Amino acid sequence: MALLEIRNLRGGIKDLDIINGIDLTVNRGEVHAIMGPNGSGKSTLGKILAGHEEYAETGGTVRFHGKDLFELTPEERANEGMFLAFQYPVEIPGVSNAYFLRAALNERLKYRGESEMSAGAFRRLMNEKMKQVDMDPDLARRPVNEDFSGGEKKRNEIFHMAVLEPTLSILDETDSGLDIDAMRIVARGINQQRSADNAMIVITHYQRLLDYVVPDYVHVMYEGRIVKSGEKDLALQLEERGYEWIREEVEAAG
Amino acid sequence: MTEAIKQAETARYTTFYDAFDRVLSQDAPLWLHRLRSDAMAHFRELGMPVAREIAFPLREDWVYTDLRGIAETSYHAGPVEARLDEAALAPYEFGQDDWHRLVFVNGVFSPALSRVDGLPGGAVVSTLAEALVEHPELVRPHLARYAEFERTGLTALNSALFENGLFVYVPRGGHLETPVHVHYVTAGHDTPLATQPRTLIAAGDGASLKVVESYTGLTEQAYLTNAVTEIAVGRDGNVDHYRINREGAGAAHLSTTQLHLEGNGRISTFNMCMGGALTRNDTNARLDGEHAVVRMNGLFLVTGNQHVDNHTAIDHAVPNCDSYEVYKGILEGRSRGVFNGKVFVHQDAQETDAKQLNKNLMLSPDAMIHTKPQLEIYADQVKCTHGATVGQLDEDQIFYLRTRGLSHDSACSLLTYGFAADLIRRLRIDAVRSSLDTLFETTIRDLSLARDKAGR
Ligand SMILES: Nc1ncnc2c1ncn2[C@@H]1O[C@H](COP(=O)(O)OP(=O)(O)OP(=O)(O)O)[C@@H](O)[C@H]1O
Ligand SMILES: [Mg+2]
Repeated sequence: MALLEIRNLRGGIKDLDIINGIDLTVNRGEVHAIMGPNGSGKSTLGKILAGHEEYAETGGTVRFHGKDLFELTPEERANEGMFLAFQYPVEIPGVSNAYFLRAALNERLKYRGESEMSAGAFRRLMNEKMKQVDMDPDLARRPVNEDFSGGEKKRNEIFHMAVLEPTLSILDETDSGLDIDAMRIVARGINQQRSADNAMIVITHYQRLLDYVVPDYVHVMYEGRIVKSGEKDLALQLEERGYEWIREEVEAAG
Repeated sequence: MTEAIKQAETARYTTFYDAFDRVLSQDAPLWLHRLRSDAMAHFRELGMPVAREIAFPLREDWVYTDLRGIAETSYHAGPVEARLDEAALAPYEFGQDDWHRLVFVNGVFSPALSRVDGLPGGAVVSTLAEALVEHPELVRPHLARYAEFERTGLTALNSALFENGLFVYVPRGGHLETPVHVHYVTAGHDTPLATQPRTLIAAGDGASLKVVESYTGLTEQAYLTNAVTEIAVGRDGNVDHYRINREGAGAAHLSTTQLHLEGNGRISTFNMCMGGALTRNDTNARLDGEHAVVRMNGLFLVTGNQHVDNHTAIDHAVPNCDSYEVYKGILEGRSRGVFNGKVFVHQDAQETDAKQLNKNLMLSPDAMIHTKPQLEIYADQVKCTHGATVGQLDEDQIFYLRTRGLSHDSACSLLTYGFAADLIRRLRIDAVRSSLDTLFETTIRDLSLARDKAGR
């Protein structure tokens, strides 16, 4: 069974269709890159999949390891193993990263009928994961994302992913705003999460991330649809030629 | 005035007048008798701050808080013995075992529940009644010197009728390291009870002390707590003060806390309010010596039909003083909140640094807050800032937390906690911080349970 199966998905916000019929199948062990011009609907797809209430699906189906995704609340989706790394991570004043992650982990354990994690076990896990993504321990103590630099916020998303160990990660431009070293560290964090059991959807504008996180498939999104799919060299082609030829192809077909 | 109103007014407060006769017949030094009589005369004139007739319009600072119901209640005015076991009080206990602890139940001191030992030389921690007998020379220079009763009926009432409370005195250079917890408990009575807790705290030059003052109701019945606290800190002295209101569901809690600071003195006060049906706190500070610093913070968390009104006033009388004030309110249900923060900077008070912030989080569309900063600045070389916000939980924040697996409700609770966590994190005494942190978290959890029950 596919981990994620999107069939003819349509949706958007009130009075505005943003996603106009997407088909996408993601199996365990795969990494899919989604590229596409600004405003083509990549983040919206991520938000609809994660269950943002402002966005609604208006047609089609999505199955997440067999379950009807739209029957699940955002937290159920998360606890079923979905993770969305935000393009613009949100600041949560007054709540420390560590405190929040512990709450999130415990909710997940509860959801799965397992017992809560001890303080000691949690500390060990945090230390291990902080090392994995080379995170300053100070950032774990500080309130979630508050006054973090742009790059620190992105790295924090990967840190959350590393701690929560999702089966499907949707990474929305996690590489934007990272310096060269941070990009390598984030890529390493992502690769460490890669396994035969997990899958990832990596939304990006740049080939550079894909040098490190080599995708199995590359899709191009345009006006709310996937208009072209290929393997990793499609990304290289886009890097070279931009999106104009895609646009022309779509218009010729349309 | 119509005959009916006149009659109603004469009937008002009679139990207080009777109580006054009783108190005055007790043995006490002449100066105290005079003080009480003077205070009572003012109360007779002022009454409670309720609108009476055209000639006595409601004072502006009482427009949002209506005391008519209280003014018309015939209270049992005075302490009454009540039996209370420690187990009933345990959930409201505070801090650590080695703290000095004074417990009053229905206004009566409970030696069995109290404990004071190991005081530094010259320091006094005792009931006010005992201090008036044992150390009148320490009490007299401070009692009723800061909380003026000439213009405030409620302070006048307390000054006339108080019978007991906490007295803390630390002489010049002394350090009372172990915190003092005074616990004013109301256990209920067959008729509505009115108590007049009086707290007097004096730190000499260079002295330091820490006091937690808490008010707890073990009954859902109506009762009135009319409290007055005076805190004076001498030159270079330092006082940490915490005030916690967990009054019962039917309680009216009226209080005045008056802070007086001399040169280079420091007072940090934190006022946390969760209980009571109606609460009005007046917290006032007078910075009377250069380089004094007052931190006046507050947090309230109310639900249902609770009403809480915080009026603060900071008086910069001399140059070079700082005041920092942050008040945060969390309002659920149909609760009502009021914040009014006055800052006066007198003409001579150059180089004043005064910061005030009031933030409110509305958890329900039916809750309401009136917030008003009121700065009156007569000096020109000053730094004064103020701000007030009223907001709701942020949908994007809620969504972010939910994508990490937190339920909608946990997300709301966590954000509510985060809204005010900085105030609690800043508390300097570890035991107070962790106790209040737990208390705050539990209260938020109870709010969210209530929300669940209400089906929202
Ligand atoms: N809440 C909203 N209100 C109005 N328009 C919206 C909203 N959310 C998305 N849109 C619009 O939908 C379109 C797709 O937005 P989306 O953020 O999904 O694009 P994107 O592909 O992620 O772009 P980028 O590469 O710039 O991140 C845009 O035109 C955007 O303005
Ligand atoms: Mg985007």
